[in-house]
Amino acid sequence: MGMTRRVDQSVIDRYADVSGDRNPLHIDPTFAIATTFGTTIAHGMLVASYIVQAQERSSSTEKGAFNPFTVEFIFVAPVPVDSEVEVVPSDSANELHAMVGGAPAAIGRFAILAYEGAPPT
Amino acid sequence: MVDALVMGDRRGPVILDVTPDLVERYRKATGDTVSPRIVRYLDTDISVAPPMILCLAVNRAAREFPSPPGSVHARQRFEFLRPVEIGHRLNIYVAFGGAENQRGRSMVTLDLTVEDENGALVATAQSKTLWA
Repeated sequence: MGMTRRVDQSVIDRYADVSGDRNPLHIDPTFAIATTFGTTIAHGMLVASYIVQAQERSSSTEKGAFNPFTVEFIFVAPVPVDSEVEVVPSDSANELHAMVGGAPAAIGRFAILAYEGAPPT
Repeated sequence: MVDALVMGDRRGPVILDVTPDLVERYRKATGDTVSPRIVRYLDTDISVAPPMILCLAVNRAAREFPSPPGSVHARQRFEFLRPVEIGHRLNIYVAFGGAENQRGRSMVTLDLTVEDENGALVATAQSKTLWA
C-alpha cells in the first residue's frame, strides 16, 4: 500500500496550474520565506490525492464496481518544497498517513458508504 | 473579511467540465498512473476521472468566498456518492458554513454539493481553512 512521491517546486506549480489555486504560499518563494513556513509548501489537496491513490492501489481492481465512500483529511503539518512524501498505513483501520521526515503531515480516514437502492439525490 | 460573510450564504452553480484534457492534466499533476480508470456502475462500464478531481471543484467554488493570501487548508471531507464520469459537466454549490476563532485567526468552513447535469448528487464536501 505504501507510496512515495517527491514534491519539488515543479510538482507544486503543475498542481497550481490545474487547480487554479495560486495562493502565493505555494508558488511564490519570496512571499513564502516571510511566513512562518519559511518556504513554499505543497497544496493540502495534492498530498490528499497521494493518500487516495495509495488507498485505490490497495483496494480496487482496474475494472471494479463503484463503491460510494467518504474520506476525511486532516492536514496536521506543512509539506515543504523538496520533501519526500511517503503514504503508509496507520495503526488505525482505514486510515493512511502521509509522512514527511518520519512525522505525519496529513491523515486520511476512509469509510465505505452503504445504502439501499439508488444513491441519494 | 470574515465578519462580512453571512452564515448559509449559498452560491453557484460553479461549473466544472470534466473533459478528457482536464483529467489528463490532473493525472499528470498528481502523478496518477491509472489510465483508463473504468468502473462498473448501474450495470454499465464507464470511464471515470480520479475521484479527487473533485478537489478542482472545491478550489473553483471556494473562490466565491476568497481567502486572504497565505491561508492554510486545515481539514477536508468528501462524500463520494456517484462516480465522476469523463465528459460530464458538474455544477457546484458552495455555502458559508461559519467561522471559529482559533488562536486569533478564523477557521472558515465551506459546505459544498456537487451535482451532475441532471441534478443528481455526485458528492458533498466540507472544507476548513485557517484564514491568514
